[in-house]
Amino acid sequence: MNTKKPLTPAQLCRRHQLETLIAGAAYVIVLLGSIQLIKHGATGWLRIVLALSPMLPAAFIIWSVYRNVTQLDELQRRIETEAFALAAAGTAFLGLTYTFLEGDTGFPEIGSWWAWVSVAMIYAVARIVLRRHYQ
Amino acid sequence: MKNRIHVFRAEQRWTQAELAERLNVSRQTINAIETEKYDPSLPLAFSLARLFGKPIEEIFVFESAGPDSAIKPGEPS
Repeated sequence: MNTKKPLTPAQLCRRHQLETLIAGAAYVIVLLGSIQLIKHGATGWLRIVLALSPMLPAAFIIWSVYRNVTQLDELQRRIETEAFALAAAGTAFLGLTYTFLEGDTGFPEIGSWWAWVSVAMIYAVARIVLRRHYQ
Repeated sequence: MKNRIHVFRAEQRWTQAELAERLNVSRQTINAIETEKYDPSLPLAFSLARLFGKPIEEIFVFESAGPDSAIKPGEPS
């Protein structure tokens, strides 16, 4: 039987912030290391492995987000889930909208980096609105 | 769904934060339930009833959409 006392919402939030900070720092370190090794002549499969290596600490953030969302209390989980859903749907909508602009009106092609910005911004705004709604 | 959580909480002289801590939820969750902006799950509703030592129907009152939609006792649903 699991007798471990569950973490409070505040403790969960602090743990998630700490894990994100550690994963972010690890990402930067691995990224800088891999850039240096690629510059110094890594070739073939090693080059591919090095190029992808920063994604390992980044993947840890996914695990941390999932674990923390599933351990939140039910209202907080609802707020997070609704905010994520809006961020995903909003980003898909913006992506499709810009695809039409690229094809028909000659707007410049942009990389996929914008999706990060879009998800983060919509999530942040949706979270504020939803938290206010339930206050 | 209407509820009388703030009444029973006041009887115990607990703050929202104290009740939240006893139920291991956030204070915002207790506030949202008390202000009837959020209906709790069955497990949380039963935890509240157990904590206050009251039957669940004494804490929560379900309001039906109208007299026609109400299910009468003994009537097949």
